[in-house]
Amino acid sequence: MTLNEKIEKEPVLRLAGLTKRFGGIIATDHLDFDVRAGEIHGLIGPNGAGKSTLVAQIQGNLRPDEGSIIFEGRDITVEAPHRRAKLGVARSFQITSVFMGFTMLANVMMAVQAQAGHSMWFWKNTSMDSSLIDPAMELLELVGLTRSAQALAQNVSYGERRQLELAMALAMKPKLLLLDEPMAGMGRQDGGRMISLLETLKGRYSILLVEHDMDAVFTLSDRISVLVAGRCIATGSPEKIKSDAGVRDAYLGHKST
Amino acid sequence: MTLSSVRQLVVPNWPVLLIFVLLALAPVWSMYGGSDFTIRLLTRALILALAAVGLNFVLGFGGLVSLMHASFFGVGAYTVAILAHHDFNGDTLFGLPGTSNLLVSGPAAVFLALVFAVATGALVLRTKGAYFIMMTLALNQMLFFFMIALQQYGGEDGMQIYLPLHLSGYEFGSDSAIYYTVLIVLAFFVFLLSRLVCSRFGNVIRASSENEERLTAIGISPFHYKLVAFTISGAVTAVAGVLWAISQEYVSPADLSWIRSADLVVIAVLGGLVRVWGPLVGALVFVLAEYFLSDITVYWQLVFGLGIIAVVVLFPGGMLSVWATIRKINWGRAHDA
Repeated sequence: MTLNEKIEKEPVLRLAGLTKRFGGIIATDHLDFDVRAGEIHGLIGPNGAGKSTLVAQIQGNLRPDEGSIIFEGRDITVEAPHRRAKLGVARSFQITSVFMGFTMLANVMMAVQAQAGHSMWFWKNTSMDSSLIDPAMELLELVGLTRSAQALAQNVSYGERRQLELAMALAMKPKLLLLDEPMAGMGRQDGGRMISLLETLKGRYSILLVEHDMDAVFTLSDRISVLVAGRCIATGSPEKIKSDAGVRDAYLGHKST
Repeated sequence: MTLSSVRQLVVPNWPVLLIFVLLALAPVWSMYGGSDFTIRLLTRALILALAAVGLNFVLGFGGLVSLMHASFFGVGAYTVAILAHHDFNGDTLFGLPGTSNLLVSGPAAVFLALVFAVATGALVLRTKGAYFIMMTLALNQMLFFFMIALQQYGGEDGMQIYLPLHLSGYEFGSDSAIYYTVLIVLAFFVFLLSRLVCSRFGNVIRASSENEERLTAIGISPFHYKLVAFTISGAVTAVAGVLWAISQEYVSPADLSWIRSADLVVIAVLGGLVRVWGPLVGALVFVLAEYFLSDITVYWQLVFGLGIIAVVVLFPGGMLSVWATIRKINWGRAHDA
C-alpha cells in the first residue's frame, strides 16, 4: 500500500475508546467510531443517548475523560475549539446560534473572515471588502437566502436561521461538518428544503449528521450509527440498520413507524 | 431591550458633522454675548465625551460594562500632574527628572495607561457579566485608595499643577486654545474609532458581544481581541485624562473614583451606544443638565435621574436614536407600512 492510498483509507474523523462521564452517568462509553471522506454518516439514538455530548466533544466544547479524537490523522483530543475550527471542523448548533444583531450577510462574512486568517485588521472597512462579501453571497445563494441577505438575523424566520447556520458552517471550508439536528423545530416545508439542500452537499463534504427526523437520516445517510446510552450498538448502511433486530428493540421499535 | 435589537434603529452619521461644526463655532459665539465660562463648561463636556467615547468602544460595541474607566482617566491625569510636580520641585522620580512638556508627559501617560489596561484587562476579561462589573469596580477603587494614600501627591486633597503645561514651549494662551485642542483630539479619536468598528477587528468585537460561543465555533478565540480592544479603550480614556489635567490644572482622587466611572457609563448610555459619537451627545446633555438643573434646585440629581429613566425607557438607543424612534411610531395610521 502506498502512502497516498493509506491517506485515502484514513477516515476524516476517528474516535477511539472515547469516554465522557458526568458524575456517575456515562454519556459516552468507550466509543469507537469513524466518518469517512465524502460520506454522510447519520447518527441516531433515543433522547439522552449522548449524541449532543458527542458532537460537543468532537467540536471541543467538552473535553473527553478517556480515549482520543483523530482528525485527518492528527490527534486533536486536547485541542481548543477555535483551533479545531481553523483545522476544518465546522459545527451547526442544535439550538440556533448566530449573531442575531448582524445581517444575514454579515453573519456569513464573519465566518469567511474567521477562515481567512487572523482578524487584527484595524483600518479597512469590511462592508466594502469584496474578498469577504463575494464568497459570503455565494454561500447565501447556495442555501437559498439571497433575498434576505440584508435582513437582520433576528428578524428572519426560524427556518431561514437554520439555513444560515449551514451557510456559516460551509463558509469555514470545512473538512468535517458536524450537523446537530439541522432540521430541529422545522416545519414540513422548511425541513424538505433542508433535506434537498443537504443532498446537494452529498459527496462534496464529510458530514456527521445527528438528526431525529428518521426520514431525513435514512434518505441522506451513506452509513448510520445507532447510539444508545453512550454506546454504538450498530453501524451500517440504512438498509442494514432498518433490519437490525437489536436496533429495533432499542430504538426503532418504540416508534410507531 | 438588548444591544442587538437597538441596532435595528437606523441612526445616520451626518449629525456628528453638524455637531462638530456648531462646537467649532462656540468660541466665536461666546465672544459675542457668551462668556469664558461657557467655553470652560463645553471643554469639560468634550473631555468627558472623549473619556466616554473610549469607554463606549468596549461598552457599546464589545458589550463590556466597565466600571474602571475612571482609573484610566486618572492614570492619564495623574501622570501629567506628577511629572509637572517634580518639574516644579526640581527633583527626580525614580532617577528621572520631572517635566511640564506635554510632548513627553502625554505619551508617558498613554504608555502607562496601556500597561495598566493590559495588566488589568488580562485579569477582568476572564470574567463575564456581573463578575466583570464587580472586578472592574474593585480595581477602580484600588487605584482610588492608592492615590488617596499617596500623601506625597496631595492624598485626598489632590494636587495643583503650578507650572504651565506646554507643548515644547507652546503654552495654551487662552481657554479657547485649550477648547480647540480638546475638540481636535476628540474629532481625531471619533474618526479613528469609527474606522476601527467597521474593520475586521471591529467585527470580531461586535460579534463577541453578540455570541461568543458562535465566534469560537467559527474559529476565533475572542480573548486576545477583547484584550486589544480594552487596551485601546483605556488609552483613549487616558488621553481624556491628560486633557483634563491641562484644562483644570488640578487633579484629585475624585477624578478617578468609581462615581466618575459610573458617570461615563451614564453618558454613553444616555447618548447612545450604537454609534462611536453617541457619548458626545450624552456628555453635552449631561454637563449642561448638571449646570442648569443645579442652578434651579440642589436636588438636581433627582430630576436628572428621572430624565435618564425617561430617555432609557422611551428611546432605548439613547438620545441619538430619538429621531429614528419617532419615525418608527405609527401615529395611528394603519395603512402606513
